[in-house]
Amino acid sequence: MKKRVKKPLSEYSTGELVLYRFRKNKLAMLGVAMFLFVTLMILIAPLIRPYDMVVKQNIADRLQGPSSQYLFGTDELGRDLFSRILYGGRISLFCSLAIIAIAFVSGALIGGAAGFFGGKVDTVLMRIVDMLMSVPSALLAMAIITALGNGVWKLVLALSIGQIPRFARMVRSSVITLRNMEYVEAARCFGISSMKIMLKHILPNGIGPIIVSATLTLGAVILSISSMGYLGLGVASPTPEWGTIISENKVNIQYYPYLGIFPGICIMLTVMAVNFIGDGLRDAFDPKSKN
Amino acid sequence: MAQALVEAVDLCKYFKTPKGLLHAVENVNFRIQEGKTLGVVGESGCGKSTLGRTVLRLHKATSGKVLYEGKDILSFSRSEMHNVHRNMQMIFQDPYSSLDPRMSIRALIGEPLSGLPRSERLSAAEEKEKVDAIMQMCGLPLHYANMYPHELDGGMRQRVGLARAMVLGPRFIVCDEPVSALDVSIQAQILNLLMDLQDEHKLSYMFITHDLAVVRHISDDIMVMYMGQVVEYAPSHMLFSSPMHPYTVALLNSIPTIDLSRRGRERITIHGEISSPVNPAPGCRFAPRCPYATEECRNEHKLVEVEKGHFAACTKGVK
Repeated sequence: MKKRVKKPLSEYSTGELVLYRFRKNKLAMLGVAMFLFVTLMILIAPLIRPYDMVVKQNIADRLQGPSSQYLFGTDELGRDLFSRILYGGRISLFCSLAIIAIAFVSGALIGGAAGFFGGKVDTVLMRIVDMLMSVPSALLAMAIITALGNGVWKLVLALSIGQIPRFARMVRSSVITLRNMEYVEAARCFGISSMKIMLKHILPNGIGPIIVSATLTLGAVILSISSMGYLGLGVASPTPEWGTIISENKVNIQYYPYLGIFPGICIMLTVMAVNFIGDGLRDAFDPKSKN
Repeated sequence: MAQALVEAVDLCKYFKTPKGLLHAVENVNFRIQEGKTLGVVGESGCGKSTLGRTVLRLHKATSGKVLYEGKDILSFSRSEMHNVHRNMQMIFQDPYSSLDPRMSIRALIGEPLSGLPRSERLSAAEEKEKVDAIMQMCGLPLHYANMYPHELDGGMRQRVGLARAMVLGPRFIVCDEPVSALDVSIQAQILNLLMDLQDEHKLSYMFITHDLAVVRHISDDIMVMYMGQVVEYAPSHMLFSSPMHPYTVALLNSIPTIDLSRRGRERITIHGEISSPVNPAPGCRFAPRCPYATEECRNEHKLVEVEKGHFAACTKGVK
C-alpha cells in the first residue's frame, strides 16, 4: 500500500491551511455532520415518507404519542408529525438560508460602501437603513407580503429586507474600524485599488463576528417564517414548516409536549450545526488560531 | 545646485476640525538629493508624520507642491500615480499594525506588485523569485515566507515592512519613525540595514523621528519642526555644532550624556505646555514658551539663511 507522504505544515498554502484548521476543529466537523444529516433527510424525504402523509388526516389516530407507526406521534388532526417535519424542513431550512444569504450580501454591500467611503455616501445609505429599522421587521414583512401577494419567494424577499439593517450596521462599524488600520493605509501607499483593499484586507479581517451573528440569526429567521405563517402570510397550513408546526399545535403542547419538542429539536439542531460551522470558519480563517 | 530628487515647495496641510483649522504643516520647503537623507525631528504632534504622509499623497495637501525629479506629483492624475508608487514608498512606524495579520509574509511582500498596472504584472514564478530576492536583501530567512506576522518579532516585522517598501524598487522612502517601536539592539540592526540599502541602491530617505541620536547617525540634513513650522534646517554637522533656534538648542541640550565633564552643565528646560495648533496666532509658534521672545516674535516667522546651507527662523538661541 502506498503511504501518503505528509507535507510539512509550513509548505501549506493559505487555502490549504484554512481547510486544515477547519478539519481539525471537532465542533465544526460535528456541525458539518449534523447539517449534512438534516439536509440529507430533507432532500430524501420522498423516499422515506410519501407526501400524502403530510396532509392526510386520520382523526381516529389523532394525538397519538410516538410509536413505530408514527415515529414522532400525530397532531390534533391525526397527521404524521414525522412526515410533516421532514417536508417542513424544505421551507424552514432552505428559505431561512436564502433569507440570511440575501440579507447578508445586501447588508454587507450597503454597510461596506457606507463605512468605506464615508461622508455623504455614508449619510445617505445609513439614513435609508434607519428608515428600514424604524419599522418593526414583522410589520415591514407583513406590509411587503400584502403588497406583493402570498408566496414562498415573496416571503423570502420580505423577511430578508427586514434583516438587512442589522447586517448593514454591523458591517459598517467593522469596516470603519479596519479602514483606519495602518495596513490599509500601507496598501494605499502601494497603489492598491479600493476594491482590492476591500476584498483582501477589510473583508477577511471583518467577517468573523459577522459570520457568527449570521448563523445565530438563522434561528430567529426560522421562527419569523412561522410567525408570518401564523398570521396567514407566506406559508400557511396545511403546508408544513417547522415554526408553523409548533404554532398550529400550541394549544395541545401543554398536554402533548412531543408536539413542540420534535420540531423544536429540529430547529435547535439546525441552528446549532450552522453555528458550529460559523464558529469553525471564523477560527479557520484566523491565522493566529493554533495549527 | 543639481536638481533635487524630491523637493517640497511651500507645502501646507490644514485639517478641518470642529474648532477651526488645524495647521499641521505650514509652508515647508526642503530638497533631498539622490542618495541623501533628510532627518525630520520634533516632538510628538508637531506634524512630522503628517508631512511625510502629505509628501506621498496619503493626505491631500492644502497647498504647495511636491516635486519628484522636477514634476509636481500632487497634480498627477490617478493613472499617473503608479509612477509615484513605484518610486516613492513609505515604512511605517508600527510593525504590528502595518502588516495585515491574515496575510503570509510572502503575500505581504508581494502585495505592492499586485498594485502595478496590468501590463507590468509579473507571473507567479517571477513574483516568487522577486520576493525571495527582496527577502534576502532585507535579511529575512526564506523559511519565513509562509509564516504570519504574529509569529515574528518586532525587528523581523520591521524588515518585512522594509521589504514591502523595497519590492517596487523605489528611489525615495519616507521612514516614519521606523525604529521607535523597537528595542535598542534591534534599532541598530534596522538602521544599519537602511544605510546599507541606501549605499547599494542610492536611495534617498526622509527619516522622521524624535530620537536625536538616531537622526544624527543617519542624516545628511536635519529639519527641526515645531508645531507645523520648520524652525531650523541645516546640514547635520552644522546643526549639532552650532544650533541657532532656541528650540533646537533646548532640544539638543536634552540629549542625555555620559560625559562626566559636562555633568555640571546648565540645563535648559522649556516651560509651559505646547499651545494649540488650531487657529494659531501669527508669528513664531514657539514664542509663548521661548525665554527670549520679544514682541516682534509674535509677528513674523521666516527661515533665513544664516550661513551657507544653514537656515533658521531665529538666532536668539546662540549664546
